[in-house]
Amino acid sequence: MKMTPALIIIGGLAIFVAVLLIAVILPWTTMTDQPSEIHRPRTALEEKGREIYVKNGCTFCHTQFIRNIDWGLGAERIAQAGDYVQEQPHLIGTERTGPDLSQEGGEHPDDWHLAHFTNPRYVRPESVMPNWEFLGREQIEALIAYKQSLGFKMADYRMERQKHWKKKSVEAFEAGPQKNIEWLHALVPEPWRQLPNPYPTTEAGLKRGHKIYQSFCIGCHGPIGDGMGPAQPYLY
Amino acid sequence: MQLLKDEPHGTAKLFFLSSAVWFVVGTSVGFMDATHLAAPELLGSNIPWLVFGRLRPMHTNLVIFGFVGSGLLGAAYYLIPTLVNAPLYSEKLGKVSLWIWNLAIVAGTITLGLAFSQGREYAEWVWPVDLAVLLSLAFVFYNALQTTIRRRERILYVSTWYVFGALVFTFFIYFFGNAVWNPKYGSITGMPDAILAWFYGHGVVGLFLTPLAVAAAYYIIPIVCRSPLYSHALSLVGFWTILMIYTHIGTHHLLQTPVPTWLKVIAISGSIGMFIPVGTVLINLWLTMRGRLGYLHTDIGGKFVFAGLVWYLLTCIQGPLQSLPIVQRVTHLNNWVIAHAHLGVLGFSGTIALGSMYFMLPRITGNAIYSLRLANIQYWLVLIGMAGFFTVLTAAGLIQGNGWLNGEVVYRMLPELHVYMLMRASIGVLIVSGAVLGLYNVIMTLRGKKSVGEAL
Repeated sequence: MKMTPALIIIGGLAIFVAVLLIAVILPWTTMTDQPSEIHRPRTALEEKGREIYVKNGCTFCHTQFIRNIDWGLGAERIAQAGDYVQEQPHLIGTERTGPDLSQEGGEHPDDWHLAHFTNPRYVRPESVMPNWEFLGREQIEALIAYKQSLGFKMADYRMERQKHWKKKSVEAFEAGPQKNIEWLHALVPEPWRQLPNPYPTTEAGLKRGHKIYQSFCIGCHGPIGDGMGPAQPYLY
Repeated sequence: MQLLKDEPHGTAKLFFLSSAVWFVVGTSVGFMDATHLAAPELLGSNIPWLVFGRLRPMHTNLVIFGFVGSGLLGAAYYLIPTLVNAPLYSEKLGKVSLWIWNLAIVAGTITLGLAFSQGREYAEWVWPVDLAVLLSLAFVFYNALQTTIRRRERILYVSTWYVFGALVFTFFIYFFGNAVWNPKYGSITGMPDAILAWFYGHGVVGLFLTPLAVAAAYYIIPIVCRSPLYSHALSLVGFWTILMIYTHIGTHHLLQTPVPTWLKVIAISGSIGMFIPVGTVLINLWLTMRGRLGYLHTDIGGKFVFAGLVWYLLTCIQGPLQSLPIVQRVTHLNNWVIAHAHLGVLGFSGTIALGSMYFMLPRITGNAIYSLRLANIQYWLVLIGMAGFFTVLTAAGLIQGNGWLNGEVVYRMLPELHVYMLMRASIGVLIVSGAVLGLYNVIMTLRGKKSVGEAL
C-alpha cells in the first residue's frame, strides 16, 4: 500500500465519519427521549442550582447513576435512560469520592445541607469535601434546592415525608423537654418499650456505638449528646 | 516581530519549552488536588479557585493539552519537515499556532478557576477556548500539509502517517466532542450526551496523544538503535486499525449506565480488539530494538521513549481487561481508573513527550543537553513516581471497589483510603520535582549552557 497524504487524510476522514455514525449518531437518534415514570421538569431555582453544580465541578466526585450492583444511598432506583432526558450537560460522572447523588433528594433535611455545604465536616467528620461557604447563602440555597430535587418524583415524596416529620419534631421540641421526650417515646411501639434490652451493654458494644456516633451523629448531636455539635448554628 | 521569529525548527523548540513549563504547572495543580484528598483544608478553606472541583479539570487539561500535547506537537513540528526532507512551510504560521495553543491553555485554566466550566471531562473549557484550540490545530494541520506537499522525499515514513492521522482525528473529535455548535452548554442532551462525551473523552487521549507518541517512537527508536524499522506491513496494520478501533470504544466508560446494549457490545469487543494496533506497533518496535537495547541506555531521549513504550504495553494490557463488565464491577468509579489514566498520560505519552524533547532539542539547537545527570535524575523521578502512583492508586481502587461491592457505603470507606491518599500526595512530590528539574534543564540547554560538572 503506497501511503500518500491524500490517502491518509481521505481514508482517515472516511473512517471517522463511519465511526461517528455508528457510535454517536445512531444511538443519539434511536435512543428514547421519553421521560421515565419518576421524571419531572425542574423548577427555575433547581435549574440554577444545577448550573452551580456544573460550574464548580461537583461531578468529579459524585456520580448520578445507580448500578444494579449498588447497595448504598438510593439503591432502590437503578438508573434508566428516561431519567436523563432533560440533562444538559449529562452529569453521569466517573468517580465516587463522595456518594452517588441520583436519589439524594429528601434523604437529608435542608438545614443539614446548609451545615454540610458550610463545612462538610460539621456533619460528616470523615468527609474530604471542600467547604462551599464562599458561594454565599443565595447560591447555596439554589444548590440545596437542586439536591433536594435529585430523584424527581421519588425525591418529592421523600421531601414531603421530611417536612411532615420536621414540623412534628419542631412542635415537640418547642413544647418543652418533658413533652418532647413523651412524644419521642410515643413513636416507639408499645411492646418494644416494655421489652427489656435483650443485648446487655458490653464494653465492645459501647466502643462500636461510640465509633458509629462519631462518624454519623456527632455533628448535630454534639460530643455529649446535648445537641451542641458544630452543625448546631445551622439547624432548626 | 520577536514572537513570530522565523528560524529553523523554532516552532518545535518553543513547543518543547511550553511543554516543560506546563509540566511544572500541571503537576503542581495535580499535587494540590492530591492534598485535598489527604487533608481537605490543608491549603486553606473557602478559596474559590482552590476547591477540588475546579482544580481537577485544571489539572487534567493542563497535562493533556499543556504538558503532553505541547511536547508531542513539538515533536510533530520537528518530525514532518525532517521526514519529508523539506523546511517547514511557514515558521511564522507555526509560531501563530504555538501562541494560540498556549493562549488557549492559559485562558482555559484561568476560566476554570473562575468557575466557567462546561462540566464534561476533558471538555470543560468554555466555547471561546474550544475555538482557539481548533484554530491552532487547523494551523498545525495546514502547515504540515503544505510542508508535505513540497516534500523532496517521495516515500512517507510511518511517523508522518501517524501525525496526519492524529491531526485530522483530533480536530474532528474535539469539534464534535465539545458540541461546538452549542456554545452555551457545549453538549447535547440526555444519555446521548454521555455517549458523545465519552466518544470524545476516550478519543482525545487515544487519537491525539497516542498516535503522536507512537509517531515519535517510530522515529526515535530506529535512529537510537541504529537499525532499520522491522516491518512496513506491521506499520500499515497498526496505523489503520488504531483509527478504526480506538475511535468507537468510548462507551466502555458507560457500561454500567443505561446506554443501548449493542453499543456496549461494540465498545467491549473494540476494546479487546485494541490488542491489534497496540500489539503490531510494539512488536514492530521490539523487533527493531532486539539485541540493541544497550544503545537505548546510552541515549537519554531513547531511554525515555523506551520507558514510555513499556508503560504503553502495560496500559494496553490493562485497558482491554478493565473494559470487561465483570472486572468493572470492582474497578469502575474508583481510584483504579485514576491509576490507569496516569499510566496512559504520564507513563506512556508523557514519558515519550519528554524523550522526544531530549532527543530533538540538541538536534534543533545544536547545543548538547545542559546536564545529562539532571535528565537522568528526572528519568528516575518520573519512573519511580509513576510506578508508585500506579501501585498506590490501584490498591486504593481495589479497596474501594471491593468494599462497595460487599455493601459498605462510600463515606465509610474514606478512612480506609486516607493512608493511600497520603502516599499518593507524597509520591506527587517526586513528579513535581522531576518537572522542575526538567524545566531548568531545558531552559539552560536553550541558552547554550553546559553544566560545570559535565563541561569536560
